[in-house]
Amino acid sequence: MRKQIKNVCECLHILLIFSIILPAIYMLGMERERDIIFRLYGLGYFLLPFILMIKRAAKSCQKLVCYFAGCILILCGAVLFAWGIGNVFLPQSTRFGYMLFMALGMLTITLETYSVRMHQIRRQKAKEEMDSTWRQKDYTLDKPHLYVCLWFVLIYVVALNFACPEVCNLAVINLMLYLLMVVSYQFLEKTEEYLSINDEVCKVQNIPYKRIFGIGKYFVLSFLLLILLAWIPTILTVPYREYRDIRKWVWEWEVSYEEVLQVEETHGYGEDPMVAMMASMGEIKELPFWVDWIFYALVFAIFAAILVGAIMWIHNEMRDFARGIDEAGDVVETLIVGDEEIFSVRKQRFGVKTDEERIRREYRRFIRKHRKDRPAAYETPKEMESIAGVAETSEGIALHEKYEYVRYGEKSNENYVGRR
Amino acid sequence: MIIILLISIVVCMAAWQIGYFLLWKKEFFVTLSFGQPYVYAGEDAELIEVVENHKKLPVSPVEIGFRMRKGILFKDMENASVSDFVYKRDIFSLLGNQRIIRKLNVQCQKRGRYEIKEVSISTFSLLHERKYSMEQQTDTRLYVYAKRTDVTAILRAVENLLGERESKRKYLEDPFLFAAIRNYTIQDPMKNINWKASAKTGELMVNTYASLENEKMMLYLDVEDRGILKKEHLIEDSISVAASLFQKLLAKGIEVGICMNLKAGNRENENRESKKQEQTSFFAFQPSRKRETRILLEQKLAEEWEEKEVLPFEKLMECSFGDAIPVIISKNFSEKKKQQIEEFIGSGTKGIWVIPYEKGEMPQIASDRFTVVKREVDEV
Repeated sequence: MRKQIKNVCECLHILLIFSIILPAIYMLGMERERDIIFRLYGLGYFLLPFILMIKRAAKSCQKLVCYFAGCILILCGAVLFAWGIGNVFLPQSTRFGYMLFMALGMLTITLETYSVRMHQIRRQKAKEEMDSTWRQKDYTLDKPHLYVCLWFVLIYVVALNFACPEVCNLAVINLMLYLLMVVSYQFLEKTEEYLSINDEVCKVQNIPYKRIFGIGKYFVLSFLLLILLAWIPTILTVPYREYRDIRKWVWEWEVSYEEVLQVEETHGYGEDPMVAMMASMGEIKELPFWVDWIFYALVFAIFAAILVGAIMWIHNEMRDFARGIDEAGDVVETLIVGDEEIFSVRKQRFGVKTDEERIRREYRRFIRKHRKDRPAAYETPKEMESIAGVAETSEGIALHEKYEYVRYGEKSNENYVGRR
Repeated sequence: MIIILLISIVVCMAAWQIGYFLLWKKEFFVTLSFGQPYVYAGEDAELIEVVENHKKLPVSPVEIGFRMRKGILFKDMENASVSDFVYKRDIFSLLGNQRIIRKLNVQCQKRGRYEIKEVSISTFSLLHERKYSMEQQTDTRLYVYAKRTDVTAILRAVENLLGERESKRKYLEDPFLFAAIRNYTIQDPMKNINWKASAKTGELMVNTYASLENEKMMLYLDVEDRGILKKEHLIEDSISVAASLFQKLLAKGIEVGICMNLKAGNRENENRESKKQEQTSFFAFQPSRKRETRILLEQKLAEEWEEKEVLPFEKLMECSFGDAIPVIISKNFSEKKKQQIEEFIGSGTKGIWVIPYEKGEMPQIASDRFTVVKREVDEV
């Protein structure tokens, strides 16, 4: 499972980096359409199957010639694919760009994968020869790194200066997704590295792998929730972005954010009939200020609900590690506070009844259902049931046994009751 | 407004790191204890690690490390590195308000006093980029007593000697030490007739009483090893013999004392009697039946000593044995030593000399003043 998650993160890492490139290049042009930006962004994710093929080729091919031959085939396939898809989804002006993007992207990935593979071979050789001078190298596209976040910041800054809100938003979304992914990946990798050093080098015994990964996983999830909270101020400040268009310095093109919106409103999305109909209805009235506040409150409430739900889910899942014997043979106990267990205290706080309270409540309801007046405190269960007229019924007998056990702490004794 | 996002993220990360750094060590305790206060060398013991987290914040992973003197082997020795000490490290993972108990089996190979005084506790930040550590004091110790060994040959020699003494000494009955009831013989005085027992059985029965004079033994343990070639295994065997013999004689009800050519230290568990009676510089107990003396002896034998604390064998001769049977345990045999021992024992009594020796170096010692018990010891 962990290996699969890591593989997914490694693919997502490449996709997130590459998917923003085409929209970023497109926005530099003089004319641009909003839906084309989103299409280019989406088409960037079609790199995925080809990335998987190249990784497979790197693993399976023993010879270099075989590997490069395979990569050339994949590259040709990618270009052909790009040509086919481009004909369907993209205008003429962008098709060649998309094909070039796929070709160059594949080439970059091929070369990087080859370098990583050679590096792994050299590492194996150095390990066998016990070469202490060998040093580990990090490749950018091999696995997620925290510094790659700067790439999205750069795209954002460029988009801000080219007055392209779509690419700005895409950069922010990619940044958040990448951050969440890189933290998860780093946690898995660093923990595996730490445990492997302890297991293989230091020969530490009785390592509780499951507990470390399990508890750490929920730790990381809690941290990621905290990071998500950091996104709220950014969402709320989206309308207040200050755009600039440096194209006007070159082409004397004056553009402002309002103009961008107006241009989009007047020209619409090509032949979209809905927008044309909306435009024909006249000027759109401005919403009152309190609508914005309701919207913000709603966003906050949704985030808060997700947060609380996630925290409660994490807390419940962590109960698996609360007590018992773990995989290393250690005895795990919950610490008792006073005379009550922590969990039973929390149970009462959240309104969950113990078994005893449930039985008492059930009995009380049963008696009140069949008896109008309130039973006196000195009445025995038998007397209460006799007056209520349920002493001989099957339900009454069953509840009587349970209630006597709970009230007196031992099984009911008919002889004893008789003597009384 | 990506700056706001970046600042928010940085603030969240910093808050998390700082929060964990400040809070992880609060209400976090590690206790180490041995399952028993003592074991004998060669036996197994149990070390119990208890890690407690008394707060809501989980701590994961956490490394517990400690060190101990060499001489104890952990059953899973792979994560214990051995250099001048035995260093052990274990990894745990704790949720909030949780306790984990781990029991480690240890094999006690060598006698000694094994203490653990300090525990180091470490944990890591979320992505393992920082390591946080702290130390905690703990105080647990295990006494590994000298290995028990077969002393049947020595006990046989002791019994032979006791038998000889029995026939030589005057028979004095202690009227307060009732021994048994038997049939009347013509040699018995009439005052010893037990009339109640006689009435019950219909025959004359008499009481018998134990001897006034009790058997006493005095062990002299020589731990000197000043030769060029150190023979530690012979010294260890001497110590094992002394401890085993002491235990067996005490169990038989014989009063036994010991004298070692070691400087008496200022340790808390030293016998007050030994300080009172012997104004000497060496470790000694006068013969007695007290079990406490055995515990003190075992603990003394379990401690390590330096060569400068060892006194010459001649010092042992200053410790008189009185009417006890002297048993000398010494690996250092020579003609000169034989004469010294003969002089020490004197002509009025007989003693025993236990000589541990290596294969191929059997001592040719004989005397009419003492019985020689030779023990061949394999070098470990």
